[in-house]
Amino acid sequence: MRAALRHYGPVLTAAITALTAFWIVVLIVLPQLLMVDFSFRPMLPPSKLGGPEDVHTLRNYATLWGNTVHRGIFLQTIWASALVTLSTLAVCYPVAFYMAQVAPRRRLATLMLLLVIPFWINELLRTFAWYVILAYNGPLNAVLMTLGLIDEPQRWLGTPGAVILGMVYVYVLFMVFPIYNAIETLDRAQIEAARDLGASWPRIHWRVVVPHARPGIAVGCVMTFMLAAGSYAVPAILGGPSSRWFTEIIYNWFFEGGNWNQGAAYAFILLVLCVGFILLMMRLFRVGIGEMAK
Amino acid sequence: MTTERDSSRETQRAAKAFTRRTVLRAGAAAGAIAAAGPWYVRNALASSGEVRIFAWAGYFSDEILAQFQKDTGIKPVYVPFATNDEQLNQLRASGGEGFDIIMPTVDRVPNYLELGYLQPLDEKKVQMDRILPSAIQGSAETGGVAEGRRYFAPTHWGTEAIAFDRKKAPLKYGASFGDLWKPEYAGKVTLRGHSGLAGIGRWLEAQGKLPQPFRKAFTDEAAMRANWDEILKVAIANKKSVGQFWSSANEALGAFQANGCVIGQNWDETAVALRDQGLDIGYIAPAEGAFAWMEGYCLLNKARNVEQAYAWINHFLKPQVGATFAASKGTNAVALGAEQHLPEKAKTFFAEAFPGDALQKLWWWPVQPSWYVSLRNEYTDKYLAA
Repeated sequence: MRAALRHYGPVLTAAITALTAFWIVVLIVLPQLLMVDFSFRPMLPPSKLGGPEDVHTLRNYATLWGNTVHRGIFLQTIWASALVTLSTLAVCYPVAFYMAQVAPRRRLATLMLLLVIPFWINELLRTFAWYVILAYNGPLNAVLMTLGLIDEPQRWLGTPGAVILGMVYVYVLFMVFPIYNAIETLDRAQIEAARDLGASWPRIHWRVVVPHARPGIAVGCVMTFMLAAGSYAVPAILGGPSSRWFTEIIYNWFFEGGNWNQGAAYAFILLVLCVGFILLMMRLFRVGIGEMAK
Repeated sequence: MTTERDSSRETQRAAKAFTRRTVLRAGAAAGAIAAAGPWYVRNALASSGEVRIFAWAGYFSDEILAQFQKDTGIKPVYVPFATNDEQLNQLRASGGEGFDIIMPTVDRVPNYLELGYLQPLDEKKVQMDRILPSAIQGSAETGGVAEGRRYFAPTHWGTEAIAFDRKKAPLKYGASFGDLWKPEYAGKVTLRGHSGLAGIGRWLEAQGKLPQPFRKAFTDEAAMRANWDEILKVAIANKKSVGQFWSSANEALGAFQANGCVIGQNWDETAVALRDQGLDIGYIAPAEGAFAWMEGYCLLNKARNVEQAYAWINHFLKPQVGATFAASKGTNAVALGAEQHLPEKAKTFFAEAFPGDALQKLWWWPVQPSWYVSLRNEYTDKYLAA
């Protein structure tokens, strides 16, 4: 705080603090509190609000454990989000390594540009592009049929595979850049030393590159996992009944079932369990928050 | 010298302070102000020459809106939604504020009354004498009138029946909702979760396989559970036939355009849109009778532009406007004399969809109370997840 005062002067410091406080309190804390309060109350028509039935209850939370359909979808969402994270990691690690250690400077710029350009287009439009590609009458089926790999069109849309594919595509950048940043700081001499001492390529990655890049990998995985678990657009556009996402159930409680209190409880459960899952993973992989912040 | 040094220090400090973060923060502040702005501006704009309409997505083309503005001098602001429930819950989020006119189906009007969002219509201001008497009476019996006061001015009615690919799934009148589940259409059927279940229910009822009359499910919870348990069993047994579920008009189009569906329980609107895109899609009422719905306008309690809202309602009761609007969606205007303005294409569509006694067999959705909607949602959930 004192450093900020010296740096920016009293007026600007006050303004920055006020804006940050406004941001956190009004835009994050208050809405969350409101939602949590909502989640502990029963749904009532306006005439009964504030009446004797308007008490705090755990019923909305109990619903999830009683409803096998929703519980199944919840577990499936966590599992599928983990799969999305792993697939994204598998796609991004080689790319990031190539960019950080192998690519010559000029090619690096081109590569960066190629990676970033698709992200100038809105996420929804990119997802719709996949809808077109994967459609029953779409180009993917046409190509596979021409090649003689399949005899009749397959239904790709609505399968869990389509949703995972769409998400990996949408979240690639969130994985590439943290890993790239981490690998870039690795001194190439270490890799060369390992090679001189006779280590194989997999062993070099396993013992030298990955340990060094661990914080970057952790940041990328956490971001991808959170984005995937909280995604609505991709499963709504590319998914179907067999790949329903938990966020769609929450949306349904709000907009189709009209039970906001129930929806708020579900949303809160998703938030808490996702945070828990991430803390657990950080524990397992021995990554600290401070390390990630670097 | 000292002043000079001071000033240069000032400059440095300012330069240091002006980082990317400052710009971002300033941007965020400007955004917050912009977001808060409308709350204040909204009052300032009250009772201007505009009317705010919350209505179904795809209903009002730019031409329809421009025509209204030309005829009345009032600027229409049209905000679309995709489903009845989305409409209801958006309004709950704003406390029934933000629009002058909304557009529910008549059977859902009681949901809004329960929340206290509607004001009764002044029947002297709505040109009731321009509306088909049967539509006035029909809407009064299915939720549009409560305690002797009218809350709903009908504009058009339409149906949900069977859309089919004329080549790959040719159908004749006499086909049933049950035809969707014939083995030859396996994997190529599209329907909407909740109304699809209702369609199966009416097919089972026609064969005498339901424990209770289907209509009783709308007034009696035990009867609903008894019936819908039965419906769910049949629905799940046939679920692998479904190629794609739809829930909005757009998704329904996608089922036929992109996803290889050849038959489905769909809105007339969908069949007409597909026809207009050159697909060879027909539309026919099933033997059980098509589902029929009526839509119209309701006036919100917190409407700011009441006179303009009446002008909007009356505009669609002009025979020509009503006919143009309804024909573009394949639905049917309730304005008297609209049939004379119908294009030939619309007349053919109607005649083909409702041959023989199909019009007498129309099945109007009864009032859907809120407990029914949440229970229906529960069954839909089980069906989709199965």
